[in-house]
Amino acid sequence: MNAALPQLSIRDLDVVYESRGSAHHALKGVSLEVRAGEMLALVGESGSGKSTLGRAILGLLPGSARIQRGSIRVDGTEIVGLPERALRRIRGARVALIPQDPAHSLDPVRTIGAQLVEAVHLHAPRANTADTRRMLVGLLDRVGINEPERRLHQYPHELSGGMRQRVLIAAAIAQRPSLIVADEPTSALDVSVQVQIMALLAELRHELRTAMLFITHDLGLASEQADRVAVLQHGTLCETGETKALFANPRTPYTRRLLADLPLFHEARAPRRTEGPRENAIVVSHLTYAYKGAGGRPGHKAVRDISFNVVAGQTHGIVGESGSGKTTLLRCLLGLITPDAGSVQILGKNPARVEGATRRALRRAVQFVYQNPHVSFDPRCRAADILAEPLINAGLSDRRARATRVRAMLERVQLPPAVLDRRAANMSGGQSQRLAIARALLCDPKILILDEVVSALDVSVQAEILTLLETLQRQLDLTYVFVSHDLAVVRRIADTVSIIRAGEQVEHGPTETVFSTPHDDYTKRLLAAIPGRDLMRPAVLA
Amino acid sequence: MTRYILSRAAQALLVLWGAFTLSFVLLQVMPGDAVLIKFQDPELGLSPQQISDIRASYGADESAFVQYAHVLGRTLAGQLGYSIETGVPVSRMLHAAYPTTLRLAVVSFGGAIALATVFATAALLAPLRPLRAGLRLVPGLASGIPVFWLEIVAIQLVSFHWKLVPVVGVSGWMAVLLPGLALAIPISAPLTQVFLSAAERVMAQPFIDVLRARGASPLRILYAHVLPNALPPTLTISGLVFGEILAGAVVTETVFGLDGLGQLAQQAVANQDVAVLQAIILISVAGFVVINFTVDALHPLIDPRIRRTQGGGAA
Repeated sequence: MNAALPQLSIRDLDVVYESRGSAHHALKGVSLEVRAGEMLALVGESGSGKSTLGRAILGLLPGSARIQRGSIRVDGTEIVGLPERALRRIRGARVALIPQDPAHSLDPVRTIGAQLVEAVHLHAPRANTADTRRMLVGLLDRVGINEPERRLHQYPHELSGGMRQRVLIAAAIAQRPSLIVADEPTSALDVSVQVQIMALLAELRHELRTAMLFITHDLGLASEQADRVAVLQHGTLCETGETKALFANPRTPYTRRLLADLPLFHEARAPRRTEGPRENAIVVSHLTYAYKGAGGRPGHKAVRDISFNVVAGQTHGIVGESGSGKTTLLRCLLGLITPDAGSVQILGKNPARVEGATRRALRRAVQFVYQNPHVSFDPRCRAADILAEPLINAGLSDRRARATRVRAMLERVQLPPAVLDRRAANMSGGQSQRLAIARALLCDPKILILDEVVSALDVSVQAEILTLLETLQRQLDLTYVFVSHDLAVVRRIADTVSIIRAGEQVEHGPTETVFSTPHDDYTKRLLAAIPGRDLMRPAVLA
Repeated sequence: MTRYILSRAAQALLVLWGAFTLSFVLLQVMPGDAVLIKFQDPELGLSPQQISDIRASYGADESAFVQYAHVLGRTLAGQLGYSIETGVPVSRMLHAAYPTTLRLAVVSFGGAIALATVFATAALLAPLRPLRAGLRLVPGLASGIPVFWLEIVAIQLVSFHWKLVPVVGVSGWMAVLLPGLALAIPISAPLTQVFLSAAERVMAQPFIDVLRARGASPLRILYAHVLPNALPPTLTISGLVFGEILAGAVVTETVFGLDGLGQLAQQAVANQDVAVLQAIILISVAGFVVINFTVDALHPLIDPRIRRTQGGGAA
């Protein structure tokens, strides 16, 4: 390979999606280059065309997409217009993909070894399997997988998400490609795993002199990892530049807005003054819950000795990685399971003990908003039906009265009345999250339990929803329990915070205190893992 | 694992007993009985007194409960009884008839799998989207074709008109070739439909894209990855399809004049030959139970994710 030539060079690329006569320009006149050993971060919001660009480089555009104009050169070879057979020789050998979702990116019914051997043999059909397996053991060791021989005989479901992503990285570098397209490689992983994976990618890039196109929605992560950054908006590159220069001095208004919307840039929530002392809406003391093991034996303890109070009208943030016990804790708050020890008081009542009318009243007073509204709505229901449901359940039978309340609520969550006729499946992420909040509010709740409600959203939409939640809290005097893996978001919205790890509350207190003077090592590690931490103004985070 | 097998065996025995009892009840509810049908013929010139004597000798005049106890006891002792129509031991009739039906089942099931494989490959990998969509409609149409009509057409065209496969005066595997292939068409339809819908779900998964990005060819992705992932639901259906083969055997053996279990069943029904009918029902149910047990036992071999849960005896 020639070091002077860019490994990837794209010129004036136009990609059009055609369906039933209408055409949608996914990419317009995109030009960029990535050199050996360099990482270019391609950042953009959903629908910006960043994934389309990644697929075009791999020659894997769907049937409805067409490259109208332009050129894509990988390692000097023109990809555009190449027949499928020739593309297959390039894919995996000279361009490799590291996919987004390690949980579903390996064949579930074949062993890790079989899949890796296949990846090698696709491009070296005469290779000896025993030699290949020896080489793979070394490769798995290189990507940081312990006991590599044993892993070759395991199936994907026996590996953690981080390990699966390491396997996929091993498959990608097995052929020493000159270019790696990494499409949101860590967005499905916990923050602490994300740090490790990104560090591995940086090492490999320097070691193998591979060019890397890093597709991400996360500006913070891009700022830390990339040599250069390209910002994509509606299919057009609006800004490209050296990472430091671009973040220090963004030239276009769009980039400036993206940066301003980062939760990192918001001040930590200051402790708010309340008029006089207020009662606690939620009191959790020494809560312990263990799932029952086989044969009724006490099983794995999901949560241990958790205590916190939430003052009415305030927000308590709960931060934890997957498997930390967040879900179990929420189930206890909702009264779906009865704690083994300790107690939960919601508005002065024990949710697991109440019966009859009190129970129904409590169920309405505590509403739950789920991470992914697309999953919690019936996709064929219209928004109007979704919103009418809680009112019908509450016994409001007059159609006109319902319509009036629904319209008032739409205004509160800043949705146009036109969405009422849309089906849930046809709404954007931000719209459906607003709809989910509206549905919860129609029950006149006192408490909202918000489970990762902004995690699936673009930064700008995320910022809007967080602002909306703050406004609603003030107007309606709501108490929030805000669960998130994203410390930057929690820091912005929560008054108090609990950090949970493996079922234990490692830290607890006012948000400002926890973020500025963490005591626990785990909290310190989590804070250090916030992507783009350096972008934060030094005064904000010590 | 031993516990799992024992509980499945107990379930199987329960199913067999249930089928036996239900068929006995159904045959009792029907008016008349085999003895009446055989000896009522006026040409035999038997008096009502003589007929009732014969019935008494067969035990047909006893109460239903006594007859049930008698038949159940005899069957449990391994005795299938005698055909009322011919007086031949039922076991000997079954022994003579089962090879034909077994061959028919093998040819039709094997043919159905081959047909489903070829067809599914075409429907998934055909070059143009409208062509793929069109091919997807075919299994639905094929499952609507009446078996007897298909078989009559097959005899007329393939055997008489084109003279490709003889159907008269042949024995062994040759005799079941054409009927087996004809029966394979309607049997392959549900297999193809279930496999295609499972395969499409698998092909929408991210790991398929990852394989394409590694340079794997569509054919390789289909056979090495989509097939094993889409097999479990198809396997379940193929267990159920066994019932269709049995039902198809009755029609097919009648149309082609094959002396297998199907034809035996058809004659036994016509003559209300209870002992023969019950024996055939027992054999069919036993076959069904064994096949579906095999199918369940194969699932964990295909999908490693269900290996652990089964060993633990989870319900």
